[in-house]
Amino acid sequence: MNRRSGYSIIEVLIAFAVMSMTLAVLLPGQTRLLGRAGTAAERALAHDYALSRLDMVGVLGAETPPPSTGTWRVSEDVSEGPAHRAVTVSVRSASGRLLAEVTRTYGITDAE
Amino acid sequence: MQSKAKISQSCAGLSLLELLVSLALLALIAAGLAGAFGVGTQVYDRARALNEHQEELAARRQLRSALAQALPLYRITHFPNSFVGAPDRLQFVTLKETPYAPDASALKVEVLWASNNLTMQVEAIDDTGAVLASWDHTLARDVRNVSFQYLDNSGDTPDWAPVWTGAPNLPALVQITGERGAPRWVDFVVAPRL
Repeated sequence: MNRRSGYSIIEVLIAFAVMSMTLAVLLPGQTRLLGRAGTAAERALAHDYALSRLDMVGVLGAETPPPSTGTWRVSEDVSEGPAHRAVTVSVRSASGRLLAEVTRTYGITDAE
Repeated sequence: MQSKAKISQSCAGLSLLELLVSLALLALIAAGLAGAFGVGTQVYDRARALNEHQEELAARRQLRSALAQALPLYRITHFPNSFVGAPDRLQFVTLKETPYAPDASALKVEVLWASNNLTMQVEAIDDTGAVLASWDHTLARDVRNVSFQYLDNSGDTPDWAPVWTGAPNLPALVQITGERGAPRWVDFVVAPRL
């Protein structure tokens, strides 16, 4: 009769520690998941920007200044063959991560 | 006396130390739950914003492929064909196929900037121009200073203009610019290829 049923303080503390560790693992995972979804949207937008730029290059030539990109860094690589010109547009984030890279080949007369 | 002591022992409450420890645990759990609830709210808001942005990106891709196949006015068609290029509005007919209206002869697309929203209305039309189905898409919400520009490449020097007057030809490029915070608006340029 003297024995009181229930959990001891040690058991409660251990359970609390386990719960804290579980939450500590799960919550940053949620944050990473959102970060990846945001990166996917930024990649899609960067890909669309690269297509815009390639359309401009196809009509106006590679010398035309590109549209403003905000914090993105855009690089263009032009390689010419006897009858074609291949233009590669690369879009990188401010931290240097590659967001999109698109190549399109034009006839020489198309791009001039 | 013995039975009185037993009664006193069975009615004993929590000690001060136990009460303090339980209060501290309760406070910690409440703080953890509040934090988790805050993170959950942020996750919900962010997921909803991302969902809206993904819809905008899908509409943007759809507009790109439709505008690339815009019909020039000199092409003879059964259905009425038109291209309108205005400073705040763009309208064209495209041969882009859609699985949602397999009986349609063409799609009539109108892009409009009004009330700081850039929207796109797509109508599936038959040979007589009758509308079989229509869809509304949002290209961008809360976008300011939107400008439609049309490139005339027929002269010696390419010329951007806010109004397209080069019918029956199509502009060499169509550009839509605007300003928006997050998610930002990136200039949209398409070359009609037909």
